[in-house]
Amino acid sequence: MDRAFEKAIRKYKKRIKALLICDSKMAKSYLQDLDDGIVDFIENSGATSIQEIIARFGTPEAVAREFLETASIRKIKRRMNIKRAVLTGMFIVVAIWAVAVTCLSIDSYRSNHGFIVDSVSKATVTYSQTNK
Amino acid sequence: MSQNQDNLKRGTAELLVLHLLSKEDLYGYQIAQSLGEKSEGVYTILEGSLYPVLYRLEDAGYISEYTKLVGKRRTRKYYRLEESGKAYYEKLLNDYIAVIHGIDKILDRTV
Repeated sequence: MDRAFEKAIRKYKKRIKALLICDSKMAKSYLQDLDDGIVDFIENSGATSIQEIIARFGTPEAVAREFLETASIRKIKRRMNIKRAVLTGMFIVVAIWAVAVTCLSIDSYRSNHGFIVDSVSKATVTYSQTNK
Repeated sequence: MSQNQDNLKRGTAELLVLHLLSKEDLYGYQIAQSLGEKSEGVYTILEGSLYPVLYRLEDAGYISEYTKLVGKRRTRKYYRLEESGKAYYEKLLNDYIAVIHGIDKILDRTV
């Protein structure tokens, strides 16, 4: 690969990087995939000009636009997952609190009012013959 | 490439990628290459647009990735179709056939 071609590729990737205004981890991963793709393409096709790279991968603007559309969906999904986790956590805390309050109330009621125990026992009647 | 063709491709990219992955595990370059070759140059997708499609499918759990060592130091990311992806692929395929069938009827075309 000649130096001019290498330089053009670097410039191409730099331009894409500048256009990817999003979560740096996601952008980094995408740039890595692009980089691998470019290497595979050059190895397999023997491309020697930046025009061939652009024809295969798209202009930096198109590449960035495609990615950002997906990235925003990913971000929204991630936010929704966080929101769902927070709501689930809050629901669990409220449920535990409600159970605890109910148990304490029952316990307190029993302490103040005592227990009412109903029991049925078999009556035994004995007849004595004292008035004879 | 016309805007119409771009729109059609956008709607079918997931189906075609899943179809290719249903045959074997592939990496990005192979997917883009296969799409062009199998369609005899009609269905070409910019590789820069292919990765977001793969990310969407991966986020949904339909495909997964793994890396393979290529040469001494380089690694290559392969994509594999998951069980849920197979079901999703069948669904997309059925939807596609139903829509194409309906469109053909509207256009008074019998294929």
